[in-house]
Amino acid sequence: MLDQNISRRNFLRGAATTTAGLAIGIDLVTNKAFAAEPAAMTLPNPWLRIDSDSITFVLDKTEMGQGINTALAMIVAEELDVDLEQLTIENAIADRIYTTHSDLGAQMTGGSSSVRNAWQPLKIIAATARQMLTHAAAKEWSVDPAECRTASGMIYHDKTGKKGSYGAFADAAGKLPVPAPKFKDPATYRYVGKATKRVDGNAKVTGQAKYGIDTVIPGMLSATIVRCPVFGGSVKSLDDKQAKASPGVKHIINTGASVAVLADTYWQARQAAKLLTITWDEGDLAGLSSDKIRQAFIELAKNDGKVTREDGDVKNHEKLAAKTIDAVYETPYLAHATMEPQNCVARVTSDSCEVWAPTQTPGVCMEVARAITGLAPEKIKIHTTGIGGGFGRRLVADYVAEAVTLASEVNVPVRVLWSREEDMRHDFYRPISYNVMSGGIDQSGNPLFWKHRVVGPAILAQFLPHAIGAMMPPWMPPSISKMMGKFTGFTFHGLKVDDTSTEGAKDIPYKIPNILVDYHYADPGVPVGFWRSVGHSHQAFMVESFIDELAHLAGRDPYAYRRELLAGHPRNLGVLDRVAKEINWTSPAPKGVFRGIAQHACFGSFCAEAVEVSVSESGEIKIHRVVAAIDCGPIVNPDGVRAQLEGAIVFGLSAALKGEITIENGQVKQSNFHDYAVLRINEAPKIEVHIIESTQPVTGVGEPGLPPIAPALANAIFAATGKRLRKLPLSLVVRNP
Amino acid sequence: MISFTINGESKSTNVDPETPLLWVIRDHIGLQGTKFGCGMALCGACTVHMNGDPIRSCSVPVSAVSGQKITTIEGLAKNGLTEVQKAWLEHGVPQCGYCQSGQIMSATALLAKNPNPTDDDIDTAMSGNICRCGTYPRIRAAIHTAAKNMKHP
Repeated sequence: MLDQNISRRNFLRGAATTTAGLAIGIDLVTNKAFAAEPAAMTLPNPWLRIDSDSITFVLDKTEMGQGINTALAMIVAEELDVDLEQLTIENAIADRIYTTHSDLGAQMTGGSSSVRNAWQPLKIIAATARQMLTHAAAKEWSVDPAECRTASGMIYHDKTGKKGSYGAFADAAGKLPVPAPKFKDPATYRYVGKATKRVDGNAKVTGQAKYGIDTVIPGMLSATIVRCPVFGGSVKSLDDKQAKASPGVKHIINTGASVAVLADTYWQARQAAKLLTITWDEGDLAGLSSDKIRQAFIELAKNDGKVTREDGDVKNHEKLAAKTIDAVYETPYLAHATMEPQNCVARVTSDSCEVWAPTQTPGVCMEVARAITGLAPEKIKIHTTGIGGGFGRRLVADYVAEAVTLASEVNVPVRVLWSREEDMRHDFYRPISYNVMSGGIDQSGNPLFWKHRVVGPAILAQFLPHAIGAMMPPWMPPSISKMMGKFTGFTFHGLKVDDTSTEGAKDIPYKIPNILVDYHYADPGVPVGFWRSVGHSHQAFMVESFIDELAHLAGRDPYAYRRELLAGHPRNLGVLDRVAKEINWTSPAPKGVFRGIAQHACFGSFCAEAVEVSVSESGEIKIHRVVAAIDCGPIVNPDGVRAQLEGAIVFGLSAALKGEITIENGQVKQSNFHDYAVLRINEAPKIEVHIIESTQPVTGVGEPGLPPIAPALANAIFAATGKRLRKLPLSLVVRNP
Repeated sequence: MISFTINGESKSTNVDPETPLLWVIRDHIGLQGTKFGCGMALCGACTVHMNGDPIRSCSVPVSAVSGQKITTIEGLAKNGLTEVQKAWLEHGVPQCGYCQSGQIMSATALLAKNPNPTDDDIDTAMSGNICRCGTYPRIRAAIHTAAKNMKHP
């Protein structure tokens, strides 16, 4: 967490003045690696800049659809006392000052952390600025600042009838000492807590919003990169004669593990790439298949893994159970399939590097650019563009490394743009997992033991220094990869052990006296990465399905069973009770309609979902309605929270019903939306979102809506058919293996 | 030389006639509201109108639009916003927004043909447009609102 104890000395430093106007910053003491030293304050005006004609809020979080631009601007507008429309919102460049991400210690957006992390600092920044402006006005008017009031960017002294805009006092305010912030009374809030329209809505309905793909730099070339379809393969031989002669082609670069075609336009590069004749050395993963991976996991699961949770004594209670149940749960690799394919523009000269990237992690882009160009950070400028969906994919900067490398090579600006096929086949996938579960109940039906063995790869093991391949394209020379390892370790200093592999499984909240969760690290070599709600996204499926299995084993109602086992967990209970109430759980469902329920907490937020389904004779699953309840502390923008829940549910349903990446001969079989299907509008259910009023600390909402949906659906399918589906994607139709 | 009308303006191009309309619109004409999503007419992000009908510009060679009238998201509103765009704002539809140009083009074409669409009509007309952010429930609601407001502006 951020150290909220911001010293006056540090604040003063943050409130450095520019030549004109008032610029307010804050020193965010995060952790040892990133404790902001004076030299680290490279930007005089990190967050808020007020001058005579504009008020600029610098957004250091990536807006990727989650509405963080709106939510954070609302906080600023509230405490600064301006209209939301008066704020100009500018995307922050990469700079150590923005190391605000509490979990990973880097400038990045993920982990449902933005509002959680920014809430207090932005309040302090905006409230302090308002006070300084007020004091400056009062001084000029020779009145008591306590008699002044502010509204919509204006300062008023009603007794004398004096008034002036913030801009008029910005210069004077910049010369004043920094006071301790005085916050607004929440009862007088205009924005925070009120449903507010997105600040970028107009741009997004008129086609004016700019994304990474819209970056145009004069003279830039467009690059298409042909990568080895087998992960880890390399170029054995290349014949590029025909491609070279293709219209518009300027360069063909054999990087060793891939071939890049650079042409005047994307389409020319794409066409020329088809003319390349490449033979590949397929490397170590040739022959890898989903079936082989599964067999290896099955073997591993026969032995004990590394214990990540142990309560009581499972071993000695297994035999004492009145009834037991054994189950195997499986989830596949999943692609992110962001609507905007990966892309990046870079311009590199001998003493400068400029990057335009649709990224969730400008901090990592900076390190990538440093490693490749050897330039000092002050010579590198990373611009975060608008981004067409993130979902965790853009936490990896592989495509940035590609653009910077190629731009360094050819000395003209280069745009790298991936095709959908490349995006699908060279993703950093949600980890596959194989789970062996067993549970038992006592004579009265209460759970006696719970055993969960997880087998699968670990994200951070790839993401962090030792397997820097996850950060860099596979064709990066080893020397650079090694260097990157060092930088990455630095960037992610403060990171704790990787618990993404069993998160959601090891933190099961139910009252069960004997629990054993263990884990086998098994990495087949397929790149894995962060995927909306990470480990929770699949572990909640196992846990919330299996607790349902225990409820049915005990002959109990799944909602009532959960309720009893959640005693002492008021927030889990709060959301569970709310969805049960809203879906009328205790009243019969309409004829032919069946219900399932699930709850899961992650990233500090609590969410429950209930689903109504019907199943046709042929096994077609129709979802009629989803009811969700979320408790994420006090709300900044209720409409944003609703939108995130709706979005997480639709994203989660795509995974629950459709998503599956399979491996054949070391390569991804799927290539586009015809064989990697996602939910479409005709399959989208009605979604109702209920927000729990809460005075708990502010948490996030981008991810917590996702985990409960797959198990709620699987539980509803069980209610409808008596069939327990333990494998994602859920299907009642027998599939070919 | 291939000539066509885009948003009421005549344009000529001498690019390879096989070049998809999408790339001519984006890279040659410089209108970037139309997006690249899949390149195979599977996601709808590149939807534009040809003579009022929705087409997937990523899979239509520019030669096929010779002499035709093309409309992109930039050419939708004569001034201000259309009822569809207004409804999109009213319902807070966009999240990342990347697919929304295509969604709005498909919805606009639907409402031009069917001023009173049912949910099933919407499903049929809109199922070619993928949204990964999951804005479908709001898209449906916004189309109903736009339909209502187009009748009683």
